[in-house]
Amino acid sequence: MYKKEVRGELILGNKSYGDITNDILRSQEEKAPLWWWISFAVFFVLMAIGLGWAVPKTIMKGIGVWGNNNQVAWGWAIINFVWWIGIGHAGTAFSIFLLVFRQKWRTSINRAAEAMTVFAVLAAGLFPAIHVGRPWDEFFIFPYGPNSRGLWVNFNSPLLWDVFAIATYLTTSAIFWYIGMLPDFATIRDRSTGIKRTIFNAMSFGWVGKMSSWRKFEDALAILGGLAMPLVIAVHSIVSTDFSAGILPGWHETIFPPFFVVGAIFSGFSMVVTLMVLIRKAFKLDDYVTDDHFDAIARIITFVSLIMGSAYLIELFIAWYSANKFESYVFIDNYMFGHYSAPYWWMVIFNAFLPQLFWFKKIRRNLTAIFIITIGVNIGMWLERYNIVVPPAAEDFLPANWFEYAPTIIDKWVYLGTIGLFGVGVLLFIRFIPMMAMNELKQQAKRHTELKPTDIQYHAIKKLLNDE
Amino acid sequence: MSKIVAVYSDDKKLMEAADMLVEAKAPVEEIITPFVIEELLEKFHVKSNIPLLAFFYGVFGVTSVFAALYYTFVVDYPLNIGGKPSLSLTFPVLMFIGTVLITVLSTVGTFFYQDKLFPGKHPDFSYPGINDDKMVVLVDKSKLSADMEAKLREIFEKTGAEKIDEV
Repeated sequence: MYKKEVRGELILGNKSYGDITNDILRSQEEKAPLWWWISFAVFFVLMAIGLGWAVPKTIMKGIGVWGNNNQVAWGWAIINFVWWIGIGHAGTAFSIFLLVFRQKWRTSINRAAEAMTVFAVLAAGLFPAIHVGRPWDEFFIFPYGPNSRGLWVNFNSPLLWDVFAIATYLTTSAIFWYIGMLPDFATIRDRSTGIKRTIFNAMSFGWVGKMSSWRKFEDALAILGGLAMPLVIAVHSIVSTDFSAGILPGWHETIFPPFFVVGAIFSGFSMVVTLMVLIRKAFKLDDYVTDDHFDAIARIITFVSLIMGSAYLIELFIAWYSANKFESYVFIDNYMFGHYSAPYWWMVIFNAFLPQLFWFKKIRRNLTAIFIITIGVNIGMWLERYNIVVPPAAEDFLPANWFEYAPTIIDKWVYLGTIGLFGVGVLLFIRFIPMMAMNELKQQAKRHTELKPTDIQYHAIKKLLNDE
Repeated sequence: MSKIVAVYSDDKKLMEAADMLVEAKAPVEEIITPFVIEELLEKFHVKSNIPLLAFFYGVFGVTSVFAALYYTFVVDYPLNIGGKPSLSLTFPVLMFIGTVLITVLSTVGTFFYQDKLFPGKHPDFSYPGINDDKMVVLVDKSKLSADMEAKLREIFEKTGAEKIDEV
């Protein structure tokens, strides 16, 4: 439970309910600022080149235009896929884990995190879709009935689970996001006129905040949240079995499912923070996204970073302890001291060491430092996926087969294209949709039912904090 | 002019009014708030059967996905994959994912159906500020005795309703 007396106010400035509506809707009721147009243009160009040139080229010519080869058959496509899926876990991790754990400080951030999820999963889904080489045959993946060969799909394959898991995840997170927005769309509907009113009338589904509606709304969201929480764990565990069900040293690891799930939450949280720093600065929402919010997220990132660091150590230990030549080649000869040592050590620095700076309160409350560290984590997490996908495959059991991997310009543009897609999505979101859940913020601001800690709890916690 | 509307902008006062309304056994039709006030829902014993229905959707999901997997992989076309049994221990993975998908879609469908929400629907009640910062208590006037109406108006005035209106 969040204790205002101990952890500070969630919303500063003693806002009335009307103030909250006005503050959050300012971003869409005023004209778009110059920076919005400039960044929109940049992301749009990236998206246009990536999705308008690199992706069609891949589909027309085949994936031979990428840097993939016989040894490294997955390359950047799967690196980016796993990276985006990881970022896409932010919404659920943030919004739903914190909902289930009753962390009220989530309310200022959950809407943006859920939006990110939807765009990131869209970007992620693109990669396997074009990586199969013949997207027009993709319907084979779905069990629509015995296909032309009289076969059913292989329900034992993690690659097939991925299709279902990601489709379900995208559906669930999009629905969770949208249902949560119904009351806010109704607020906009009531305030606007003309065409805007028509659009938001359609989008708000005729919502009126009746008691009976709120009861159903809360129950439906709780059910969705409760189902999405284990789903997140399932989705990334399944992504990890794409690797760990293989026999390649470096992939064949039982640690992968938890390792991937934690890594996903790590990169997701970091991306949320990166965005929230920008949103707070750009829209001057200091009263809603306070230093206490960043402090709380930074603590979680520090904790998760320790788990990541331990996982890296366990991998090295097992590689040595197993006394398996191939295993220790990947981890000790190749990662630590070989010619893949640069991405490996940068990964360790960005993911395991840099976030440890958050142990200092000054850094937890310094926006620039937070921004730099979380960008570092995002780079580190991309490198982690690179380290998993490329080195073990490029140098496996038989040295005669070894083949180095380098991405082509098309690989790079497909990736930049998805960054453009994500950026365009997020920019449209902050311009046209209330970027914080107004109804939930108002619930935090309500006056009469603040649950107070008992006197004994209060003094004990206060004393602890003072001693610190 | 068949409904009395009492407008509040302070939830503290609204809760006071709610206490008195429950005590007076007033036939309150609805209370409309811009955000959920759990205590209010508890006070008026507002319940929904969505959690129960969701459970049944879940049970349906598990069984139907299992049945589908069993039919395709054991009955219709048992593939020999490395000599492993057709009724595979990996089934729970897809059973879980399928159950989530089925439950999510049907729960949301139920929510929309029960609350009669659909794209483009016009709100069935509107009053300035109800989705912004105003909380309103709605009472159907036709169901009120003259005594009760006087009592309600007294409660609304006493608890500091900003406005008592009729629509």
